[in-house]
Amino acid sequence: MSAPEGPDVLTHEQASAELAAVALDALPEAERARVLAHAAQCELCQRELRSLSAAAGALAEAFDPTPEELAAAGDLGRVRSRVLARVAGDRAARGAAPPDAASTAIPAGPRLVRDEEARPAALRPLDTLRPAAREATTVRATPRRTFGGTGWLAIAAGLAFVAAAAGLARVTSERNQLREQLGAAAAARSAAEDARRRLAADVEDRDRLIAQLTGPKVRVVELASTRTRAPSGRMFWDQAANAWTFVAHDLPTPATGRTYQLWVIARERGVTSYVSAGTFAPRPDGSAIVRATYALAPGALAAIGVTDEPAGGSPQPTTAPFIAGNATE
Amino acid sequence: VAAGEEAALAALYDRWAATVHALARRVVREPSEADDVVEDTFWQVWRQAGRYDPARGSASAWLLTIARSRALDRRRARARLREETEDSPETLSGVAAEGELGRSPYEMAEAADRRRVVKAALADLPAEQREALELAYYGGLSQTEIAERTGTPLGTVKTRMRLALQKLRDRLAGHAEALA
Repeated sequence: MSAPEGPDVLTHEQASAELAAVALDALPEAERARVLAHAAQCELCQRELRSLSAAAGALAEAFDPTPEELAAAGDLGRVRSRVLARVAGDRAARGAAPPDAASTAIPAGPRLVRDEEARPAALRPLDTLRPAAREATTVRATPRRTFGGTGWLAIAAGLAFVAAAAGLARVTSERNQLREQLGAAAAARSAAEDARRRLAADVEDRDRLIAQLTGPKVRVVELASTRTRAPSGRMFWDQAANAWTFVAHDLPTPATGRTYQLWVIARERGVTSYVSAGTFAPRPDGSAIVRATYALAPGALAAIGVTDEPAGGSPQPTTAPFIAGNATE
Repeated sequence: VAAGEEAALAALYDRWAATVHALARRVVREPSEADDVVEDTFWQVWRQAGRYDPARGSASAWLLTIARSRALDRRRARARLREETEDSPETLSGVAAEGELGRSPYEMAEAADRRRVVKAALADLPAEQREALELAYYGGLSQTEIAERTGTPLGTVKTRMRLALQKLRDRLAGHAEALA
């Protein structure tokens, strides 16, 4: 690639000021091209653009459509048929010719040169700094089997189911408080717009939580302590939404460098598997709420347990659970 | 095998089509055009499943990144065609597995964690900086459009966007280091 020349060439200062806009696709194409032309020969800008693009890309993880937006999704069934028909046709075409020969462009509308594929070669690998990815690899592992299975179930066995009213009342009152705050904040208008948005999101979140605790298809597993001090926990499994909500009380603070990890113990076809539902630390008052989404076959849940693990969690439990609950019916 | 791959795509569609539609709608406005974006998105997923790398983010984030791109194409459409490279959809069932179907709670927790971290980092930004980011990313607006929409000088929008994305990047990097 030859060096661009002429009045359109940006200085380093000009170009670096626009890198965020490039990463967010917020520049007209001509300007974008000028910034990229500079970046193509400036290692500093390349690095910066790579990390800013990774940060912008992480925003896709946090997209939060409103329930109204989800409900407003048009006739997705019709679109579904269209997609699957195209896919079936593609399958058939590929079956008739070697993959290399099947070179059709994606017949979408006209498009700008804005994608990763269209960037200068030097800018291509935009993945080196993606924090979410690094975060993921620190704990990624395949949680399956091992760790003396029968012990867990023995500890968990025979513990009673208790009414879930206390935890629910607490969540409900928190939610009511939030709703009151929401009303007050809305009155304060412009200055409080920011607070209002956060509170509205919180209320929505709590509403969802309440639904997941009280829905018609929610199963509750009670966890009791195997130690002298009496932490307790309760797992709500909303089978309709595949939502798991764990509420615990009176948990001691984990030791330095240690964390608590929540496990769903499943047993299918005689095989017990330990699947992590996440690590957590209790609040100062010893309470904790952990939420996860996971589809599990209705009959496969054997038990729920919490273990004390090294910070960052473990792919498999390394200690015996200090609270556990049997879920077999 | 073919039937399995198609079922995997259908499963992904059933789980995420409404979310993809919601994002597309924000960017293109027109409901029927959002339908087209949904179709484009899942078609591209089918053709490019081999490009999906779970280490780089959740399947839903990958889908939404594609959807945003396709929606922006339509929004800022110009008569310009580009050759698409071909990828064979060999690993689609792997993508669907990541798409929370048969995903382990462990991986689910990771996805939930990523989402929580990004949302927290976003919530920590000053309101006007966050607004600039959100309008650009989730609304697909250019800086000029954001300036018009918010009645803010273009230079201010540029500054906000730059500060916002730098802060977001630093927060996320800090978080990754804390875990490493």
